[in-house]
Amino acid sequence: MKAPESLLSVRDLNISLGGQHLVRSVDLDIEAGQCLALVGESGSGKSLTALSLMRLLPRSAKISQQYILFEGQSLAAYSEAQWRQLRARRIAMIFQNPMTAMNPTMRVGQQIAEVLCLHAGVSRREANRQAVALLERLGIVNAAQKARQYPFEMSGGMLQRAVIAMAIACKPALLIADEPTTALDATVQAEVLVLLRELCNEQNMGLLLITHDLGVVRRMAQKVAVMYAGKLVETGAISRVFNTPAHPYTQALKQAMPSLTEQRDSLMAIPGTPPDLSKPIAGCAFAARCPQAMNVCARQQPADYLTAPEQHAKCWLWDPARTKAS
Amino acid sequence: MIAYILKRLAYGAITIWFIATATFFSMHAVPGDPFNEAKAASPQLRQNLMARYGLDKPVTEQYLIYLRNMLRGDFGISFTQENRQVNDIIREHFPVSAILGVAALLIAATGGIIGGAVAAHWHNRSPDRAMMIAVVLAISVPSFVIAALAQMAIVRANDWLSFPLLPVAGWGGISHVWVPALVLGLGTMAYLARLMRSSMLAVMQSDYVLTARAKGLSDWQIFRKHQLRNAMLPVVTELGPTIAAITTGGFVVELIFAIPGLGRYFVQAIQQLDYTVIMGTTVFYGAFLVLMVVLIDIAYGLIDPRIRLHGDGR
Repeated sequence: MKAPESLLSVRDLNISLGGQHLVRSVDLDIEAGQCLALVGESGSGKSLTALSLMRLLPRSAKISQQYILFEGQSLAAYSEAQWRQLRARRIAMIFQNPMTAMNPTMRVGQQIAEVLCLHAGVSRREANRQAVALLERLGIVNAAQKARQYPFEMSGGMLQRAVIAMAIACKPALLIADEPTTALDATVQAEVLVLLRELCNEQNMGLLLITHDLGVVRRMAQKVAVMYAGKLVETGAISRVFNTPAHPYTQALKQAMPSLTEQRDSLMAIPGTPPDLSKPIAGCAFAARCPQAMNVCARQQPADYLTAPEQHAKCWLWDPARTKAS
Repeated sequence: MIAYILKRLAYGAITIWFIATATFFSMHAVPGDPFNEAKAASPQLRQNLMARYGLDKPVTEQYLIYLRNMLRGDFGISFTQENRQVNDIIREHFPVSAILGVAALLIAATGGIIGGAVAAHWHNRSPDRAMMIAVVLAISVPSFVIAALAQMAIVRANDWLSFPLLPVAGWGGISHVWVPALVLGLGTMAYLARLMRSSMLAVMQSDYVLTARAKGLSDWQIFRKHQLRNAMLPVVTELGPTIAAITTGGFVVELIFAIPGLGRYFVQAIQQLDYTVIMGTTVFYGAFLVLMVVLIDIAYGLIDPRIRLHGDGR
């Protein structure tokens, strides 16, 4: 059996911003046609990780990695001009709030056409025609008329479709979606998710889905990576991580999810707050909040242990030495 | 869009009526009358003049007569200058003030927008710091000081070059316009630069600029297509009130540079209580300002589709 060639591989990604080490030694692998969900609470470093994959970080951010491979090419030494060639053409991004993601003083169709003019080298007229076709494909009725409208004239759901149209205009190999449905209401959310999944299947596009909504993860992703305080604490196949979470943080997250079958008086919360990232963390970042913390947890960082086929966790509980000892 | 313009014009007409009324009554509340200092005017002569100009009638009646004449576009005859219609004074001297004012406004707007954008682009670095120091200076130093300094600089430059590069004062060709217009527009330019800088900084942080970067556009393309227009919106709104500042500032600058604009007549008329000239120039300036504000509102609508398509101002 041949392992699938990764579309994007990053090893040991570190990002610092304003003296805080916000993303710490992150490894990511995304395969073509598959969806990897990156989950975690606000401030855990999800969005920074995503932005770094397109080199859209603020200028003051410091970034390092062991390697970053995309479609077999190393991007580590890419110049800004080379990155510009990659953006939107091979790697595209959808942002959280469609209401603010579009230029308020430019027609929606024009904003989509702009990408095509830039990367596909087509004429303005042809780009406009293709923009309308894209909107139509994404299920917008009366697309020609909608293309001439301004963002403030459209609803949130329609705008997010337009934003997606803009992102997929050049048929990118990888789509990064940063909380694509958070700003939308529930019914529209479902439609947008279905649309994204169809696009992945049709164009064999890799999808990095960033969310804090575990329900969305379950519907969309094949693999999931759980991020806490800038570190990936658990990664693995969706069924594994959901059914038998290995890391205490993931377990707590699962318990915090309200369920329809169980009657509960109040929502579960994880006690405590995430650690201060401006100081170095000696041990596991979750140790202070972890119900199963041991002495070693606060002193030394755990390695990445294979807890089951297709499931890894960074937790001392899975240390083979300890398992043997007990 | 048409409804929007009509609405603005209607508001403008009401404003002008208000200005006319307020000026009329405040002028009549001032003690004295235009013939106080008339040389050796006999009581009989004064009586005749008062009757001639209707000054012996009750104030309310004068007001109605005045409004009626104004609607016909007739501002009357100057009380103190022989045989001069107020309309003629305006017709002769307003174009001079207008050229100076418009030049000052153009310099202020262009300089302010470019300066603000430059400062924002190099935020917290030396170009930004230098710009902000210049802004504080230009806002806080009064225009008559800057005017005097500018004249001194011109004299020095002309001496050093041993031929006249620019005229020190007076009016005639385009060379007479530059320096007074720059002096007149400087404070406004500084103010607009500050405004542009802060709105540009906000735009640079906005989501749609991040989207534009994610599209693979270069910095210059992003600036031109996505940042400039959006950052300019607050600056354009401020242009309206700015015109008032430039117009009133013009009185001083005209005096220092010996420019035969309307401002001098305006000031003179107030000193001499020349009712018709005061009324005429005030109402005319008021109408001019209102018209400019309407034009700016229209320009704003052209730049911002949210205004254009909804037809109501924010």
